[in-house]
Amino acid sequence: MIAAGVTSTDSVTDNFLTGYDYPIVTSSTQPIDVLRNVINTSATLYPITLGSGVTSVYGNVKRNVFFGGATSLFLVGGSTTDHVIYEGNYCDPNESSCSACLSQGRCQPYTSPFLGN
Amino acid sequence: MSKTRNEKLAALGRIVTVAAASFMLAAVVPTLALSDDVITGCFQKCQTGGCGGDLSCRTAANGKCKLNGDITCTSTSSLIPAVQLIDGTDLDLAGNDITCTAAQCNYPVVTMYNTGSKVMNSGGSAVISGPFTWGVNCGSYSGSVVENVTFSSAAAIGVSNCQTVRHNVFDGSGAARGA
Repeated sequence: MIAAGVTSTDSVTDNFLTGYDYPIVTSSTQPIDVLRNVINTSATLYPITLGSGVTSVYGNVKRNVFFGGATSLFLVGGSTTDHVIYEGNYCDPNESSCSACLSQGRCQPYTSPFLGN
Repeated sequence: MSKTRNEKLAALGRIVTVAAASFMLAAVVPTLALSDDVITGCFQKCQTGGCGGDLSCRTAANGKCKLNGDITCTSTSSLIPAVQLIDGTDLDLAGNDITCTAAQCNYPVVTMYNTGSKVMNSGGSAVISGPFTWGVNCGSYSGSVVENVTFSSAAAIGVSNCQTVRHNVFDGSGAARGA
């Protein structure tokens, strides 16, 4: 889905997404909330892409869950990088994209309830 | 040989009885005619303003049009979307599906043309599927909402330019793997 920035209260919440190269794309300088989405990131390039050029608080990216690998869990452009609030985004620590996200402070590792022998 | 007066009266009585029975049946059996606010096929629009004689137009009731059954789109190309929401009207899928069965449906499923429109589903499962070019285009209008809908391989772009997108399932498996 593409969020082009309708108002300052745009939101993408509580969705399940699978099978897309770019599941969530924002392309404006309007603030947006991306909350509580579950994204199957297998073979995904960038699960959440945030537009570039944002110079003020951009919004919240919170409580999203990523299953599987990806090129990178977030693609954040330009000055937007410094204007996003990340909180409680969970990913698989066995995936390299998740490791990178953890080191950036944007993600937390989840403990899969489905692991077994 | 002419009928007697009694025979004529008896025949008249039978006719009256049949007519009365038909009237009573009509009174208890609901009409099968669809309401004006029901979307019945591809390439229809929904608006609050009167439709006049436009057969492709549905007049919204309480600001909303709804599907009465599944819609199957078979045309490959069109200059207009499968459903148009003209003046802030809503579309309720009401548990019905919109499907493209052509090799490619080169048009959006739903396009909004004013503020405040919503694409929603008040019923059970409602699935938009098939190779449409676009799922829902909210046109960057404020108050636009897409909720409770399943998009299954619907399009390279499932939903675009909406203010609120919530409680949906987007399955792009086998599609163009866009956004």
